[in-house]
Amino acid sequence: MDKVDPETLRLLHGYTDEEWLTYFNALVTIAKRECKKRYWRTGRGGLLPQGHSPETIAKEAITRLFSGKRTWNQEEYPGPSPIGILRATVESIVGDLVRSEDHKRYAALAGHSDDRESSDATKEADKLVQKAIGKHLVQPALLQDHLYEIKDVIRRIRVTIGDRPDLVAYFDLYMQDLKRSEIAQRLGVSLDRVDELRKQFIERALDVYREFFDAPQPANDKEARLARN
Amino acid sequence: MAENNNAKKMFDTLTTWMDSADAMNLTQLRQVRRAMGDDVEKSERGFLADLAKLKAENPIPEVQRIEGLLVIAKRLGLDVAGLANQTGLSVVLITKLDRRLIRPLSVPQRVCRLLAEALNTAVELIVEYLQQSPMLATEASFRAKENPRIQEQQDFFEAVRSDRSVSEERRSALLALEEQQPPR
Repeated sequence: MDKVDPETLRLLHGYTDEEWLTYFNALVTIAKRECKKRYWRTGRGGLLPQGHSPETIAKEAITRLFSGKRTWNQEEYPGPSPIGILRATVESIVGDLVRSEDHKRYAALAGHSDDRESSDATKEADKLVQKAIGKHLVQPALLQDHLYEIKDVIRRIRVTIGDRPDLVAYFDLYMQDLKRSEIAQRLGVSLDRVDELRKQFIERALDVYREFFDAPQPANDKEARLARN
Repeated sequence: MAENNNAKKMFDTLTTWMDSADAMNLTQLRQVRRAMGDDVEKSERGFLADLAKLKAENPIPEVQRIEGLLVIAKRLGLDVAGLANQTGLSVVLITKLDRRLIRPLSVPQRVCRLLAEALNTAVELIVEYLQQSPMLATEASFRAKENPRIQEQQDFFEAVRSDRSVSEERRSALLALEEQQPPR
């Protein structure tokens, strides 16, 4: 049994249900991206080993903090919010899952321990993917597919928001990886306006992202379409 | 390899907003998850049930409370000036901390550590002590005609700035800790 820092437990017990639900839903969203990033790049869709899903990964990260398996170092993750340490734990869990599965799949890639929680799990997982690519364990054609798929997503987003030139302008700058303040400067608008554009862009583009993430259609959408037909 | 890096970079940029999900509020997050095909209500119900179990299995450990900073100091043969010297604070600041007239979240961790070291106790006990309700001034409680009123808690750094008794050297050292404080 790991020893849990009493101060950590006090903090974890102190959050309201609403705060916990916010952290949880944010972690699931972050985990979705992490999983897709890793498995998409190895050409393995969204399948996760050991029956994991972004949701179970988010729960596991929270469990590790409660049980003391993961220590909350306040110097590394200061402040009262646990989201920094939980995010790092999610990344670490996904990295470990990729690594363990790659172990099973690619026996040639030896020398990585699965039972530790390394802080650089992400980098190691990335290295494994690079090695797999180097050894042609990932089909070269996939690389071409990735680029094509991404470009197609970008094209479809542009079509989706095409009736809103302000959103298109925002999206173009967003895709240049510019900071919020840089986007505000380029567009000549306030930071609040950039936040609003970002919110509207996400709302409008969610359908395209859902398909990109191979996610099922939301139940109410299906019902609405059936009703329309 | 260049194609892979290019695709990776484009993927990262395209999905940056998901990585910043912690900046969204609960309503937005639920909307995103629903749109991504998740049964949010079921998922949240399951999470809250798991959370209740986690809390039950990992309760807050009961901590022994300390009676007061100056009470322990006295036991160790330290007076208020001695404790101030050992911790790099001032008599005024020590008195305010002892009476919990400083907002606990504003007290730098380093100050809690120094107090714990000087008083030969655990940092958690100091933190727990500072988090309790402000104490009435013992003198005020019997001298005043009206009911004694608890003073409002002050920010630690405000207290340092307004403290005329603290040396400039100590003031600078204490104010330097402000930059290391997490945003409140």
